[in-house]
Amino acid sequence: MTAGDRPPLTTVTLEVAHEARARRRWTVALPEEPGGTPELVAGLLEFADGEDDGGERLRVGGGRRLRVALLHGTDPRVAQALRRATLAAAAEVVVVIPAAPSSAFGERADLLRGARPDVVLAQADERGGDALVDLVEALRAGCAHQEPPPFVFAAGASARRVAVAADPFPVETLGDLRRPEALAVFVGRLRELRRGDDAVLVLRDEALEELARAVARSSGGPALVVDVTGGSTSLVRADAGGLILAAHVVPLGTGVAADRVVARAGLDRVRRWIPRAVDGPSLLERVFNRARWPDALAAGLPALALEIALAHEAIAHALADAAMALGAPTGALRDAPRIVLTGRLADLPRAAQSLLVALDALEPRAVATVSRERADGLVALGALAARTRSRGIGDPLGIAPQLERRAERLAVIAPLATRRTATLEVRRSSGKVSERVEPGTLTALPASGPVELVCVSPDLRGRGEAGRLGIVVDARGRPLALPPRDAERVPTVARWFAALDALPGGGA
Amino acid sequence: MSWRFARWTVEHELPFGSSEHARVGDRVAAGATLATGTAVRGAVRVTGARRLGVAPADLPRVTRVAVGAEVARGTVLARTGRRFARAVTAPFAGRVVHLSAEGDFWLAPVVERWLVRSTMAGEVVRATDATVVVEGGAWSLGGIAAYGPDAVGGLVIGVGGAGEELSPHRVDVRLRDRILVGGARIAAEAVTRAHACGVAGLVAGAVPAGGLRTVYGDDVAAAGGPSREDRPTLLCLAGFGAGPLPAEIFEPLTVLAGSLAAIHVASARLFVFAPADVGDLAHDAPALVLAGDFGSVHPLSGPLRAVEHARFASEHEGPGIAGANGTVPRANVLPFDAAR
Repeated sequence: MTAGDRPPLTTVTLEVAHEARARRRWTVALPEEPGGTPELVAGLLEFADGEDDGGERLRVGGGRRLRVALLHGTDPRVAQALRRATLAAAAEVVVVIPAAPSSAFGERADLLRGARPDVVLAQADERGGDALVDLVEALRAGCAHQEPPPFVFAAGASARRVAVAADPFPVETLGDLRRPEALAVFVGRLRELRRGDDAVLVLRDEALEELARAVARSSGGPALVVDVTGGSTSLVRADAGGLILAAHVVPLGTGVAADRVVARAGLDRVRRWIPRAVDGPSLLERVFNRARWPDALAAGLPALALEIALAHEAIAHALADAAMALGAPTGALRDAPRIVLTGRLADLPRAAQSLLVALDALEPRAVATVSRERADGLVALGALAARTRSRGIGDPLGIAPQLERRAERLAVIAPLATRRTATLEVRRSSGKVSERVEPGTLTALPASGPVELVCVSPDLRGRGEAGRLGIVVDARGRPLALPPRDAERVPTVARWFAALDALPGGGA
Repeated sequence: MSWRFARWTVEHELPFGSSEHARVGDRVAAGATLATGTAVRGAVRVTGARRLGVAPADLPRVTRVAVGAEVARGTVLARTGRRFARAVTAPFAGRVVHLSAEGDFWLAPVVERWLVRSTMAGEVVRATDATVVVEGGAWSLGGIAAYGPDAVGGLVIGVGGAGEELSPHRVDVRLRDRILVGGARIAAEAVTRAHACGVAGLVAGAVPAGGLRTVYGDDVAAAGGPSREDRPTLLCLAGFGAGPLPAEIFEPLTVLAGSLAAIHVASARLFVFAPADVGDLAHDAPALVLAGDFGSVHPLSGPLRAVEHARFASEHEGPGIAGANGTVPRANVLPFDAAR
């Protein structure tokens, strides 16, 4: 059979949705063999008001935004389990009410009415059952006329009583959400609700989880995917066995959820990452305008600096949420030897900008190779893997060979928390060199390809693949400290930007 | 199209504790009372079915008062038997706010009353204890965000032109119960002064975000949202910072001045109750462009040209729109009435 005899290549369109109108349209070549892996061919940024070819398509997006109310008992482990469940399911928590004995029936009913939850997740231990039932009564009173009525998930020991109290709302009972099986069922159900009847939708969080699995598989070790979009921030860690630890925080991002970042972090904490003096009111105006302007592009330097600052805080808060909800130290997320950046974070104009955000916000504590996606390519691959898994045809991790093509390798990072001058040995196939590292510095060393980094004091050892920015040695210490006064802070942050050549015009 | 006369369906959400509300089919005027109720604070549970010895499902059969009813102290809430009667009575004067699935009453003292007014003139098409929906015809203009409670009042222009800022000195008590139109910007000082003078609501191209925090608190969101507290009502039409209004938006406001108007905060929309043939007001407004530093919004006018690929000062690249003042990212240009 010659090339001319081959059947024509079958393609579908895969759209990676941005905030509103913008989307990246990828052409995907379908495999000729059943069970083969689809392949990305070409991507193009478009706006939804453009022409639609009407062909077969898949879409990657956030799905229906679900507003979730959490009703929990006094046991902090239950509260933590409920938080964990909503983070894993990328749901927006609009109200959290602990079921303590209280006479605030009307206040709670009013609160729940105002929150208009799409989903209510209720769990208490045996002792907290009475108080939880009272809370569900307040829900029933407050949301009695809500259209559509809230969907109640009753979990744990009091589930049956809650189900009776919640009637006539739709109710589903679950096991104890502290157990992984019940958690998985809940996350699956919430994802179904978010997808609704949209048969062509692949949820972005599912795509990210598949991407993390594929990166972990291809690198042979744990991998962390850091995704910052206009409206969401995700941290997904996968180990080589495919086990996922995920926090999808919604709404929290650099675009339509920019004001949420400021609400959570405070204006000063966002402002501290900007390498120039800027007054609070002006900054707040930019944040509010960006929040009401979906898909807006930072055309000027002040807007770009804001976007970078917002990304810093979005990741830091996602990390804090993950630590609280997962009940695990953030070390598991910070120590991944492979870090992949996606979304708006990967779309920053300079590679150094993406890297600097990851370094500052994640504060990695081990040697890691950092990459970023090109043009939504990795999220698109993750979506193809998610689709393959949901259909049960082929190997979802078959996308692994395509990862390198859709990513840009940025650097190997070497975090050296040292108070004295340290010596870092860089071993390559061509030999080894020693570099002196001064405390408090951020330095980029030119390098490419596989390297091994060794430092005796402080102890640091690891391998990685140097990229466009070579090896970045971060001796600024942990936790990263920023001077509180502008006069000291601005030069410090500007120096960090300048060290990696991260802002046009040298930073300040 | 930005200004248009149409039939609008306006949803009014009610707080918990509604006592009475308009019925479907009622005709209401803008500003008319749609519902009244009481704030429910400090509700207590009164044991019902267990005290009476009946199953929870049977409690409604022996209940003597309806949920929502106001009762005096000692009022019999439910009663069983004839010769050896058992009864549940109200321990204090208040309202029965809920009947639980386990057969208990929730009774709350009446501490405060509320009422909800209509922001539309027309007919009630849906009414429950949680929502009253009114449908009617009006001129309307959508904004990007609104803050505070709904407002109704006569429309007054407070500036000489679309590009002016509303000066606090132009606000006094003669503007009480009016909806005052500012120009490109209303600063926090003018907002607080207007509220102190009893102005019902304010409309402007833009408001300073820092000023919003001063007036509404640090947790104010860009998208705004309704509140029930005694706060100023503010409708922001274009953006934050400064936002000069295009003539296609501002001039109809001057034509409609003097008419009754309403700000519906949940939908961030201004309604003006004037005849459909009041003038030729429905014109396409120019698109709005977000400034490169995100600090302001302004109308994009003059000859425009699509650019497939542009590189901006930030080094971001993408499709653009070229005009007299240079090329801006296409993503930063939105129709005046774009859905956000």
